[in-house]
Amino acid sequence: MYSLQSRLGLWLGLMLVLIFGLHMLLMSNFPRYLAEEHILTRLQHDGESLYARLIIESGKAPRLSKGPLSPIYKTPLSGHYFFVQAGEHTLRSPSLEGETLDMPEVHPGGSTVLRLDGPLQKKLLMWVSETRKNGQAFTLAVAEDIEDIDEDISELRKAYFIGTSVTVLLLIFLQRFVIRRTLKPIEKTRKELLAIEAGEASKINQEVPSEIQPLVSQINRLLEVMHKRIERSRNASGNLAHALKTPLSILNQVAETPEILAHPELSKEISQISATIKTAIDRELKRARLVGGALPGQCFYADRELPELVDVMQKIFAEKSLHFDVSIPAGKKYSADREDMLELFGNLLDNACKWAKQHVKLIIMDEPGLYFVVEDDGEGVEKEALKSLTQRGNRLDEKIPGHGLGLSIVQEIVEQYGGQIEFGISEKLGGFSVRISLPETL
Amino acid sequence: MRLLLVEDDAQLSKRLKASLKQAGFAVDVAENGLDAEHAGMEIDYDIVVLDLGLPQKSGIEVLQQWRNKNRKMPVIILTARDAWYERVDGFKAGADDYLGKPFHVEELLARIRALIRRQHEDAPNKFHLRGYVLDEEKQQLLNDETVIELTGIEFRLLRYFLLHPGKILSKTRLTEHVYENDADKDSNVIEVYVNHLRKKIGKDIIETRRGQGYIFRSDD
Repeated sequence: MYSLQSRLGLWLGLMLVLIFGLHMLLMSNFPRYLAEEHILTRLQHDGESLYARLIIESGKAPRLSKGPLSPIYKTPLSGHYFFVQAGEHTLRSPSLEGETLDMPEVHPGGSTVLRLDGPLQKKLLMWVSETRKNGQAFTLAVAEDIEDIDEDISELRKAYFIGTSVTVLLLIFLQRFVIRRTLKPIEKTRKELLAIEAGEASKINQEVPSEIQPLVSQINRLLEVMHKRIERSRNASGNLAHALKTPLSILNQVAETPEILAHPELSKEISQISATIKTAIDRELKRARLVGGALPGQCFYADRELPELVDVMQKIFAEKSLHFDVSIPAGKKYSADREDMLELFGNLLDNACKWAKQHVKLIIMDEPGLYFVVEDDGEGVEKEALKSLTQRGNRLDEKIPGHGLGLSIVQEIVEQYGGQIEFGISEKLGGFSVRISLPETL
Repeated sequence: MRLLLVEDDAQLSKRLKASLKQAGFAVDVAENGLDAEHAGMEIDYDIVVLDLGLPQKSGIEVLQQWRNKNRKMPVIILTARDAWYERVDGFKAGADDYLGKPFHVEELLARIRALIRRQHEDAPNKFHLRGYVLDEEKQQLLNDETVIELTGIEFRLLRYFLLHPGKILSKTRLTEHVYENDADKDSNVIEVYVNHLRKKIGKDIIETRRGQGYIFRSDD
């Protein structure tokens, strides 16, 4: 699984860094190139005017014709130098103060540009020309200190780097903002889906971007279809139960009419058949009614529903005047079908009430999912029986009708919700104890 | 004891009515929700047996209407819809007990009797009267030696007196709680039955208050 938001952010960010990196690489040498071109042109000009003034005579040191010399070549170590080498004779600008500049090899008639360390170990840009005048070959070099310009350029590059980095970061930040804003409807839909899973909503808002609109309407449609189907099958099983049980009630009454009671065998047989049919109806139809954890959009408010169920138990078992010890964390709810949960707790409490002498205990732990214990102070169950209890429909006590069936439905519900069930003997009350844990989500 | 039986299945209600009458109840039958609601509003029933799946108006709605209008008679729901959530909803609507179909008449009668007894909290487990015990199933008064047989109406009348000792009970009220709707009612007939009871148990057991009615003197 991946997140659209982080994936978009990552790719767009990478592209920004790449583009700006390339740009920086291309642009960083540009100022140096410009500056050097500019200096070089000047050096060439200076070289040309020097050439014009140079007097070269065979066997004599080269000299300049009379006339003023630019002050920059006079000032000692001004950073502007020239140097003429004709055979063993040389002519240097006064600014050189007698220092020599290393001359490279230049083929006759050619010229070259190079960098070198000049006086005071400062960087120089030098233009060197191998030329002739009056039949004499000589080398003319003009150089300029570029240390300061180099420094300026580095400063510029640093500033440019910082500026660009800040821009990129700013753009990435803006991008994230834009992405988040654009994906906001998806995030909203995601939250609504979670709410549906938790049973706090029953459908998703349809006002979404056109890209996910079909998805949302499909989900809504499916939810509606599922709810309707479950409602229909529940109604059908309820109607079937109703349709079968009323005639069974009549059958029971018929079995008790004086005419039939005159033949006790016959009456007993009718009653037995009726009881068998009733058990089958209860077993199968109650099972068919279960929804299980498959349907989203369900919520069971334990702290509201269970006290009501306990009230019901108190009324049903009014003759026993039982004492209930109930503990439910405030606001406790669980994503499950209300009818399933009431069937689960109803059967467990009903069993407990039937067995109990005085006390029934229902404790819901304050833990994720649904984790609870139902205990009574009745006779409890033999160890052997505890083992066989987990078998489907194993009737614990034939004298208390429906007990085994109740537990098998409890077990069915727990299975459908992917939970665990544990039977035992209550340590405190001494009776039967059922411990059930249902996971948070399937 | 006047009982309203609300059940849409004619076959079942016919048989049930017979059994309930035999057990000493004046039984009215309503076959749909609207009739049931109306009957419950008009007549002070001592108990109602209510089916939930009714035509025209559901049993739950009928019950809610009664409770909203402060009709407090005990109601026992008798239905095939016995899932726990349906029971919870039934009790929330104001039911006092719930019995799933199919059922045995004894089971229903036991629950009706228990409910009536709960309703009259001071009523004892068994009614004792001048050394006799009232057997509600056989509708007899018994002590160690003798058995006093009671007719249906006598039994109904006596049980109503036993549940309301020391109170002035008018002839109309007695008639209402002893006879069903479709019976040929004549409040003067009550006088005849009161005299029968006096003859069987003792003259001073029922005191006549002229123009007001009768007071039952349960001195033990």
